[in-house]
Amino acid sequence: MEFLVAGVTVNPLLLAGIGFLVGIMGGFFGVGGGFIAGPLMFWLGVPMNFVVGTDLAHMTGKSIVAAKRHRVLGHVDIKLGLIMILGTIVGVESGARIIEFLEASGKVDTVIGIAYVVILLIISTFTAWESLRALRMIRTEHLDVKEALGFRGMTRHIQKFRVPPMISLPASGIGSISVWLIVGVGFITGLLAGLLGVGGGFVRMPMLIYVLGIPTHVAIGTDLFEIMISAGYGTLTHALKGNVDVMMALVMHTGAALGAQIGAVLTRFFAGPRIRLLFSVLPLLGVVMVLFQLVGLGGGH
Amino acid sequence: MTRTDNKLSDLQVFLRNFVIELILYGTLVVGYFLVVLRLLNDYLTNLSRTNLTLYAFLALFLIVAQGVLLDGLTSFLLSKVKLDRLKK
Repeated sequence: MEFLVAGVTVNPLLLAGIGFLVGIMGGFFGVGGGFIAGPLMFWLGVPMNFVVGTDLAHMTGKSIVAAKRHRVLGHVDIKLGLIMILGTIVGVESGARIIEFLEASGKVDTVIGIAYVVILLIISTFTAWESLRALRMIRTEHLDVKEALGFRGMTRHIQKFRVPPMISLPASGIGSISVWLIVGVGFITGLLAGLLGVGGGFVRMPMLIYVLGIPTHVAIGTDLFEIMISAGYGTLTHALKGNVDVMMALVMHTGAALGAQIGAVLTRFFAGPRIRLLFSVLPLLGVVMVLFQLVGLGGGH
Repeated sequence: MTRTDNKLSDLQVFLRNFVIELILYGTLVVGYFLVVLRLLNDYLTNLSRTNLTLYAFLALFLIVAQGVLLDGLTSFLLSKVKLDRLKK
């Protein structure tokens, strides 16, 4: 099928398949999966600016439903989410403008491709390290004190940053925190969303938990709320810059909707740190695909 | 019956129901590709060239509408083929 807006011919079943794969990952691992969908689309020959915009568009459809579910469960800290949006929107817009600049200078595929490789390697390393740490903790049946203090110490250290205005977040059990810390987290993840077309959950989640000290269940719900905003705003701003092929996004989303439900059911059979360790290999596949496409050995036409 | 046996039995039921779900969903989605997306393709392409602002807002609306619609459809199918409840 020819996708006329992006100017590429791609088999729609392959696109729906990519959507299905990232949908399963979303339901299974609790991640948006943009960091896998992006390299796969690029590998199929979709130009990088359309990869970013279209990936964000397909993510919007998924995240609205997921965020609504978590909102019903009371897992979204609305006050935290609304403040973070300020940084998120500035970050997304900055990322979209960088893409526009790179597109104009003809370097978008190379620069964003390399950025993808770096980010994917970081995700893979972090996930493997985190899973191995959890496996070690299970074996010894107690928390490694040094490591636990490491995280708590980091949170305490960061929260010494007390530049006003200070606010409280009762829903997350935080008495006082600088607004700038929250806006900063939003900006960094928004920049990744605007630049790479990812939801940014793989960066926002650890930052919410370890930097801001938000409880895990609230961090998950608030993260989905932020993905909904960043993907929605990212879709709009990238579409206005001519970087979104909505037909492609709609086709991908048909697979993602089914995959998300299946992924959620699959967690009943397969769960735990060993599966997360397996998951750490997936970003490496993304690295290989991006590198293949960059050197002209990809599957695109 | 041991816990492992129960898990295996659940997995078999899951796989059987998953195939049914996939056939039903696949049929509906292929129909959707053929009718809705083919009809929209030319209109959206023209709109992206003539009025990018309207195209951007319509793109956002379409993906949100499809998100809500397909979530309803998949939830309905999952409950019909009992994929969300694994007891026979």
